[in-house]
Amino acid sequence: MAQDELINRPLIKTWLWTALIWLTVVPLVGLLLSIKFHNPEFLGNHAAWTFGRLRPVHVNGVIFGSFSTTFLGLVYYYVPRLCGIRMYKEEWGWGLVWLWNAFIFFGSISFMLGYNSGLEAAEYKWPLNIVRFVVLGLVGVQVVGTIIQRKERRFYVALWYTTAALVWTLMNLISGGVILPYAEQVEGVNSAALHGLYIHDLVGLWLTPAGLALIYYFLPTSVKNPLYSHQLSLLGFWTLAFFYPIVGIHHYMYSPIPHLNQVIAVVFSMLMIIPVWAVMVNWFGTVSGRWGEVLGGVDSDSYAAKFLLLGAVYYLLGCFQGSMEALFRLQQLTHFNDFVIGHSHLTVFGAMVNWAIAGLYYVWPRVTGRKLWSTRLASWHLWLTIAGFSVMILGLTAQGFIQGSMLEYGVNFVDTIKEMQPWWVMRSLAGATMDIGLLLLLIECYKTARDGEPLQQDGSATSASDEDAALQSVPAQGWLENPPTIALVAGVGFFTFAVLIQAIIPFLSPGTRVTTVEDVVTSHIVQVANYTPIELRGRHVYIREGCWYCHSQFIRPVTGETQRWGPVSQTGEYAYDHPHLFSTRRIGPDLTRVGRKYGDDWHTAHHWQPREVEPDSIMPAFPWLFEPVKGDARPQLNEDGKALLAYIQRLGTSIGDWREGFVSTRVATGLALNPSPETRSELLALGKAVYERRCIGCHGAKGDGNGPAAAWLNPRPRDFTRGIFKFRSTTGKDSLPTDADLFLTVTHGLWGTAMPSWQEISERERVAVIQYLKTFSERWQKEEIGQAIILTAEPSVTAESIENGKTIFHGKAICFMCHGVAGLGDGTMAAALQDVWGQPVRPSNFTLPAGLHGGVKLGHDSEHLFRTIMTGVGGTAMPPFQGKLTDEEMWDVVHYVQSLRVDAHVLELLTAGLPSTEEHESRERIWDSLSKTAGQVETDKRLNDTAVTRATEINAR
Amino acid sequence: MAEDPQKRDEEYLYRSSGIRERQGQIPLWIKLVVALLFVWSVYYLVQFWSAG
Repeated sequence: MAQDELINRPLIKTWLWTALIWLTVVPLVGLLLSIKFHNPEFLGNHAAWTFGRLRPVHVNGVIFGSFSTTFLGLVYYYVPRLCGIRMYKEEWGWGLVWLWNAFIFFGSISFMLGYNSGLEAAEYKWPLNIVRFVVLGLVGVQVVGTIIQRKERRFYVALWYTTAALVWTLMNLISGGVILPYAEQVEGVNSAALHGLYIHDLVGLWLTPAGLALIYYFLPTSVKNPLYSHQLSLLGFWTLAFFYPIVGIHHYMYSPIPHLNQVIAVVFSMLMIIPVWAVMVNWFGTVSGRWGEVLGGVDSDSYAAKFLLLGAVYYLLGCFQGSMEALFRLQQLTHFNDFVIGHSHLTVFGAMVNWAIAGLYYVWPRVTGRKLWSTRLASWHLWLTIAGFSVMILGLTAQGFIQGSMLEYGVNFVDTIKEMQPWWVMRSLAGATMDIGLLLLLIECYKTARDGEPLQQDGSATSASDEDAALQSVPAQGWLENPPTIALVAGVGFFTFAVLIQAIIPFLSPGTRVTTVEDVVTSHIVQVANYTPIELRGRHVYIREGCWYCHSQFIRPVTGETQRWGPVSQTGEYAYDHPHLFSTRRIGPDLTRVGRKYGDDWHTAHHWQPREVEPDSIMPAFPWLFEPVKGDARPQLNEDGKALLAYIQRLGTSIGDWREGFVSTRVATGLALNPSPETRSELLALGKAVYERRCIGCHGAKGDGNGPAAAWLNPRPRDFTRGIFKFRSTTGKDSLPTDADLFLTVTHGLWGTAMPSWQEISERERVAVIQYLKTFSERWQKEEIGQAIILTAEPSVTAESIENGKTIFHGKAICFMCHGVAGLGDGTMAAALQDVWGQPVRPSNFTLPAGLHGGVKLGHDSEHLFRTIMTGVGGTAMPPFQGKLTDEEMWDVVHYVQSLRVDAHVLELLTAGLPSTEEHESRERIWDSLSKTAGQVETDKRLNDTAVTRATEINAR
Repeated sequence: MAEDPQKRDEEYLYRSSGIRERQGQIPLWIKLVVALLFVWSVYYLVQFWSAG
């Protein structure tokens, strides 16, 4: 049979025409996304065009559109040729090509409309998953049917990879499309472990073997040399088949996934060097002796070979990078940043897509019957790809090291984003260069099909010479290369083994399915509560908007993340996470512990326009999470928006009141911070720069508390022009604070308000901005800063001290008038209180945990409470008690106020399942976290007296 | 694994595609890489497993 009679040219052309559309359009979506990194307002504030909705269009579009459509089209070319017969049930191909393209088209639209499963690379909803599965399943039937009926004695290596790719992927799609989204038992850590396998198997067991099939077919045919080594083909295939399915968990290193599974993933990632180097030797050996013809050639076969070899180089680099970045130490530095994006582009676009393009260059003239229209155009395509892609990859790799190093060094997260800006501009330019190349490919193919010179088709293979006939005398292959072995052992067997080792065994381990965590204050085990309906709705919004593409949700015990964001993640925290939202990228900060870090007002302003709050933010605005408004009225969050906030505020709070004792914000500045006038002057310029980058959104350019975000905030931002500050250590009502006082507020932030902790920026920047904000009020020039109060030694916390404090609270000091009888901030005067700006202020509720709106703003620790009682709260009705109470009385009030929080905290733990036998010890530990002298407290009796009352109060809230 | 030079140079022709395939061999240096990586794997597995 003549070769051309083996294939259905119109069918292949149809597949490849549609592939060309995806090869052109989908990378353009990538360019749009890239521009958003340095111009976040690009494309406006429309839901469908945000990063979170377009990202899956690009990623899935490249995998299934650009690459897979081309690959499937080429399957209809090379499988019949390698088998010596036409494709089994060839006519199915017509239905499949349109079904496949409908899947990609409607899948992309569905992402833009917000339909997203929340699993990276498995985002499609079930109707689309079914279509994808049916198409690949039927193509699998066609391929296997053709192989079974083949006339060729031997089973060529391209067919091994094709067969295995289809078997692996059909199994993997069940994992990603059925088990992960719908099996509710697979949640939290187990969801992440299985997803790690899925996501990497999509690359390693679909893109990679499909790509390898293409290069194994098109390299020897385009360079017209024998394949270098059948032995290397065997080594490459079987080592890849065994190693690759196991590596996926390296996406979630340092997460709560069992450590052993992470180590196994690292080991097998490194072992991947073996198949990669084996195939590289095989390919370059194949070109041996033909380099001049290939590199100097200007026909379509030469360009096919050039793209194949270009892809091979990228494959070598990308895979070596992949193995290396799996190693624990390198992972610390490179994970979550652009290094990984560089790696994925290097392998997926650099290797796979370029190999598919090579196949196009080889096949297109043969199916259109015309020579390539312009070799110059092909040359431009090649060189634009090399130029653009090399710049992109070098940049992304460098960016990864730069951002990783900055974060490891402790730089503020947003500063690292700012640092990336010029690099991202370069990436956009590089991407545009590549996209122009792809546009030239489209033009080339269009013009070739329409205007190309007629092509002299290949001769018939049946006219083989005697020499060729002799070549057929080589014995048939061994069992390692038989179709059943490939499909069943490499395909089903190795895949199942990997899932068993890396997903099923961890799932069966009770340690991965706990619903408890260790309370970080008391070290006792407590239950994690399930999500409330509104939190669940918020989680759905979080998934729908693609927040998880930019924000991870696991804190690693490395690179200072526990100092930056809070305690390391625990398995039980994810008990109700279905699907998991660990994420693989940090374009924004990790959100594991964001709950209670900012007030709801800050989040509201941030979601309305992030750059009003944080000028350097690149987050999109989310106006569709707000009710429509008329005129200039301030929009209110709609139900979706409120739910999202409820979800965000819950994150990271299951492990107890950790923020109260978070080391990074519990700084002791002392009184040594007193820069000389010269130093202050020197710092002003820096302070102005810091202010304009970090403070201006709320406090305004004039320092009057009227920044663009101020209207959203309650309490309103501080007006610096009056020089009145809440928290001071200096004596006298509304006295000026010391630099150390301001340093403490800036560093710590004010809980329950929009004022965040700035502990991540350098001390020099914090001192500098303090100098600058002092320029807004003349008080700093006209008045001397008063004497700092003397902090007397804290007496022991005793039941008597607490009782005495209670008596003063309800008597002499009349604290209850504002703070309420039970310290809930609901005294009879509370509703009428205003600050000096005429804004309502609410007295603190002493029972609330750190960070909740209405609670204390600088902590329940003894020294802070003592200082606040002694000096009052500037600009509010809270008077200084210095001179009105003795130091001893003030310490008693401090202890009483602390006891309110301790009681509430203990009851929170009891509600979360703390056994009553551990209550006493827990109470002691909580006291220890608040007071240095709490060791002698007699707590049992007090609990008995107050527990029932307190429980009623807390439940009522 | 073919070490025999004659066998190494044997070729097979896939008639309908025209692809020729050498029996070939696995270069010694690749074998060394394989051996070293396996030794390293055992070391790493033991070292980091116990570190967890």
